[in-house]
Amino acid sequence: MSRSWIDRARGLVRPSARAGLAIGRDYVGFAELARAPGGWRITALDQAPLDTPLFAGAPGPDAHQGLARALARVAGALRRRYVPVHVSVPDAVMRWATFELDELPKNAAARVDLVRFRFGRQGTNGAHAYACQPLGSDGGKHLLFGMALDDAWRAVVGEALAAAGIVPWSVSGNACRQFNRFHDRITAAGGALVALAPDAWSLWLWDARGRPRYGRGRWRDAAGPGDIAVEAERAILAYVHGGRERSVERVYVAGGAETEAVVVALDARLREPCVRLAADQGGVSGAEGATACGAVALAAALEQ
Amino acid sequence: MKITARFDSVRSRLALALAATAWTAALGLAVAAAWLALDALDLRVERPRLEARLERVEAQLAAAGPREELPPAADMESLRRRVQALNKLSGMRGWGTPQLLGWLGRQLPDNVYLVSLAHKPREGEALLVAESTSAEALTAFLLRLEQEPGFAEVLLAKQGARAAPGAPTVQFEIRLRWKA
Repeated sequence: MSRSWIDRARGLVRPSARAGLAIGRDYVGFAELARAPGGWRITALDQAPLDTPLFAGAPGPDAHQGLARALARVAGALRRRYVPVHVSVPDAVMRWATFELDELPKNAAARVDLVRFRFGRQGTNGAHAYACQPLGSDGGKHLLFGMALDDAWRAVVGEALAAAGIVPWSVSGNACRQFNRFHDRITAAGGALVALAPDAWSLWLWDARGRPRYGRGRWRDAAGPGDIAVEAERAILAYVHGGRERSVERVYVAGGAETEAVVVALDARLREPCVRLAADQGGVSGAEGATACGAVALAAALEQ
Repeated sequence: MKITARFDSVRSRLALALAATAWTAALGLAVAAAWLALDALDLRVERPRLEARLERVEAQLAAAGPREELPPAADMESLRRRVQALNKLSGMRGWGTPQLLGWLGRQLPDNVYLVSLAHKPREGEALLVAESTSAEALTAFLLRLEQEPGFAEVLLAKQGARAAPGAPTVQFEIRLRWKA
């Protein structure tokens, strides 16, 4: 069988539509895509504010109800439909780390236990949900990528999605979505990605083989573009100085039409201009001028 | 390397197994559908031949059918009753000859031989002559006849001896009468 026939067979079983939800601290964004020649076409791009802010302290009793109402308002079309829905939560509530291990546990459950233990040593305590992924080996060390999310807030998101009649395919952070979305374009060499959302921002750094080595998310709060640029520069320098083999060839910024100010601030501090990753790149039509919220939802929708 | 790590508890743990089962079932049904389609194609090809054969058989059936109409059902029933009445009048009593021979075949001891048999079905009687070199074997055979519930009377009519090359033989002439 020729490859084209395999591709055709794959095309038959691929979903013809997909959706992404961006759950922020005070908003919910929604993007729905339909298959189009050469990529995807946006059929819905919307957002709604939240009555009750999320991800601040412990979840209140009405947190999931407010979220469920907003989800029903913005993504009610997903109810009782079989569409892959990927959900992104703010990077500021995510914890990422790449652990260098002498030995990698063979069992998946043992790997998650190890990630829990290593996160605990870094100060991530309390009830969290953990996930991990082996990234191969580097200099005799096994690399294990781990991520953690506050379990109480994850439960709130899960309950709200269930109340809105939405079954999520995956839940992850925005930076992870953006990294995957532009992966083939940005991982030819070591680099950095600044992922922007209306309420949070994050910095991801990867090595020459495209393996994430550092990830940190922050709330934006009062931090302006200049503050983000300063902190990103500081983290990049700390990473590069951490080892001779570490390098950041280029800095990428993803986050919709509102990223311009951050791009300007970063360009003012870095020796090379950073590269702006537009929301309408990568075979998506109709995303011109998407907001930061829309860019987050789009990246979620484009998750494979 | 793309990041595929996810918080997997969001999705039901059975989802993967169910999806695999559904895909396997779909594949099985697709194979079955293809099989049935091929069968249907075969039958379609074979259909003209089968129809021709059916026509031939129907023609043969029509040719072999009764040329004269059978009498009405009432006449047939009347005829059947008359035949039954005649059979009753000429009916035999007791067993038929094949049944008697069958019984003898089963019950006759190995060293006892049937010399003659005179069966009168209408009278319900039979006269048989059996011989053996052993008087005990003949006596055992007589006992078996007496124990057969179908016989009303078992009578040793005559007993004799016959000189034969080797050892002398004993002959029993036995009269049987069946129950009414």
